[in-house]
Amino acid sequence: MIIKEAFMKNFGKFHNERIEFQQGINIVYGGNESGKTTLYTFLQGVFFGIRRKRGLASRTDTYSKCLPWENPSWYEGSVLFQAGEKDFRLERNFEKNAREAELYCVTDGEKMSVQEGDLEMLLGGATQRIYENTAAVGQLKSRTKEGLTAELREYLANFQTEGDFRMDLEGAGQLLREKRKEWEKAEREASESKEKALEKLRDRIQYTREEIQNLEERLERLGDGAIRQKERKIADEEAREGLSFGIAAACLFFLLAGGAAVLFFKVSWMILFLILIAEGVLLMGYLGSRRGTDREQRKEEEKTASEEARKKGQRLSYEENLQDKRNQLFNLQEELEELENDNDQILKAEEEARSIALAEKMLEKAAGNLQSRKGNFLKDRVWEILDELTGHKYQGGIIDENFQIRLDTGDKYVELHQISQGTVEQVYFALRMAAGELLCREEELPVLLDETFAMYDDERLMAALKWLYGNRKQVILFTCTNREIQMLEKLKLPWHLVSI
Amino acid sequence: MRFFHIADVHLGAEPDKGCPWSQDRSREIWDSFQKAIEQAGKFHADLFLIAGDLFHRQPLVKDLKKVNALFSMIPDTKIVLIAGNHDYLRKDSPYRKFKWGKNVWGLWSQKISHVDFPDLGVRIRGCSYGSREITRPLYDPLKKSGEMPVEILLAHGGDEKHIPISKEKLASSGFDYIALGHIHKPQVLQKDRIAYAGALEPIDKNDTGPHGFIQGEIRNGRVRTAFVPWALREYQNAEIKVTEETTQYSLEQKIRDKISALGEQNIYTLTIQGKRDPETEFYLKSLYGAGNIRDIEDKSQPSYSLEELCRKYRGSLLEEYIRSFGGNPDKEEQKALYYGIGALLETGEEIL
Repeated sequence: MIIKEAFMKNFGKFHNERIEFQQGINIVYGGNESGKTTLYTFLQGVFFGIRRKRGLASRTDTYSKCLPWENPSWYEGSVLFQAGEKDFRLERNFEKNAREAELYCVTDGEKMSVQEGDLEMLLGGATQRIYENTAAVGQLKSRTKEGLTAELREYLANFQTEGDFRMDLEGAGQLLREKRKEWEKAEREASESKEKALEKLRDRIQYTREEIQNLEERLERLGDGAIRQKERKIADEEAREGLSFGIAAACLFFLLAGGAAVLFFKVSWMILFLILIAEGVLLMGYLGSRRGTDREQRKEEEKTASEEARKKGQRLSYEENLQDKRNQLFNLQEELEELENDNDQILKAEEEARSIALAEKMLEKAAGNLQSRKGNFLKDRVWEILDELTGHKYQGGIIDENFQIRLDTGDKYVELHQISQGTVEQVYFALRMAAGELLCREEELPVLLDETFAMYDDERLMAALKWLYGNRKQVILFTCTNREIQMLEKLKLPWHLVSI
Repeated sequence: MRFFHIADVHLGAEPDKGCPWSQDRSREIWDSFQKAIEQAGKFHADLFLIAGDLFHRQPLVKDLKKVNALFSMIPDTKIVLIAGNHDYLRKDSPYRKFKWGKNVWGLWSQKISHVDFPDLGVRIRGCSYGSREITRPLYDPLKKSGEMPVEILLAHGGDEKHIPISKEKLASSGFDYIALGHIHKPQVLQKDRIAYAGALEPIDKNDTGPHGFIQGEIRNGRVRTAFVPWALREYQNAEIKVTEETTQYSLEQKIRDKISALGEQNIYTLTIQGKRDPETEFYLKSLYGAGNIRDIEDKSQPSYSLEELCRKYRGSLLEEYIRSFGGNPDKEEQKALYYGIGALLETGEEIL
């Protein structure tokens, strides 16, 4: 991109000031207080706007510094620039509540939309922060070497954050880890509560099993008892029948024996008669007793029958109960099986934890990729530029993970505090230029240099100008001395003077 | 002749076990069944058909006694039931041995059998499950016998593992009515002729929408049926829309409003949809108190597009991270993607 013209309608001390620029090196020459920094601010601000600070700090922020001296409520300007093959005009009103900037394609006579990203596209996606950290080199904040070294380190540390937003890899990782732990805890809890429920069911199953066994044993005993009683009754009956048969046989025997005695031993008939009487008495007695036992027996039988009925009822209820328990056991087992397969809660937590673990992994990987890709490019390019700037004095170096820089002098590595401030500034400059190439690959932005080379000796200044001329399409250099002009004359390089 | 056709009552089920309403639901299933029987009595239904899965698991004798007592409240209604795949006839099943009341008939055979009611001029055909699964299409070859003026098939199944059915074959079987059970969603396969009554009460969160039974009348060989919504509650899937303005509090309010509009007795599965403020993360656990909520899934996305983010944070770790997932992340990757973006944005800081 090439800035062709800046038109400050009302900006700082400028009022309807039109300033032209050209391709190549532009030297904005002016004494102190001539408005160089105001122009520098305008050139940035017109593209990206000027952000206000909050609170007290707003009294001295850039916005306030550049408020128009006259008519402070009217605060605007425009810029004409070339991007690609076309010319564009960007108008911006810096007033607090003003609309967004307006962009026109002068070549096509078309109005474009900043809101829809047309400007962003023309700038190749560069943000204010990118610009500030690369091609727009403002006056250094620190003038001491220590301060500069620290600034340089900070620059490197923040290098991966070129936007207006600083990513915190470590913090993000930590946050993800905490979230993952939460889900892992949820997963554990779900598992535990499932295990508890399973345990409860298993207990119930065990209990039901015992109940079934108990019932089965009782039923068995009930069956055994009934059988034993029956056997005893049969034996009794048999014994009783045997007894009555024995009595009858004895009676007959005595009668026959009596008869024989009367016939053969001529004993008196009276004996036979007596035997008969005795037997009759015996028989009467037996029959009497028999009648008694019969009554008893009948009573007994009635009792056993009711007992039997009771037991039968009991058996039936046991059987029914047993059946129920068996069904209950089956149902419980079915429930257990269902519960065992119910992992919804656990799987859900597991899925979340797994996703987060993946996020952690991918984040690490992305950070690694970014670091190595950017880092390598940056390092290689920094040393290349530094090599040219220092006239091949420093051809390489090391940037370690703590952003400590060591330069290679050919035979040893030296740390930044061992070299001159001028050289440190050169390293910083090389870094910015390299970063600019890395971050603004799509559109090269004009290099703005606000008194950047004050600490450079003539030789290095010439090397820097030579490098800029050879490597950048447009350079706008603000200076209050004519050293740069002298060097350019000496180098016989074309340049354009902008006086304000 | 009037009839009731109910199915899949699943007595004894414990829906959403572990949720606060689970026990209530167990009871409500019984209540709803009892009320349906009372309704049949009021309606002077001649037939009360139960198309399987009256019980969620194997019934116990005490359950059958309870059911039988309910049946005895409507002595003028003839009740016919079959066992489905849930309450199938195991060897210990009390279904068969149980002394049912005079107005109850069970078609317990695993082969197609029937019961005739000459006074009504109706034959009911059907069979019971003797195992959890039956893969043979038992119903497809059946035809109306013509031995009774009206013939009804009482059937349970209709999917691959539970007596698959062919709608066409059933339609050409000649039955006057086919009372289906097993599929919990009430649906009519052929108007006034073939229908699933659906579960009387929804049994789990997949049983969304209204539930009830079918009430019908057969007069002069003409059948008319109507679905009667009967369930005490419904499972509903509802979407909750969020915007960038939605906060945890307003989301909870929104859910309460939605639930009170749709019915507080119902049980909800909520899906949060829309674009939320990237800084906001909804804490789902505390939302469950806003009603009978079975599940909440947060499908809302932060209100940025990935492209926009890449552009805004060009060259940053965030862009590198987003790009590292490629153009077509699967579900898990997508989740990971948003987790990572969220973490980076939350922990990063604005530089002024």
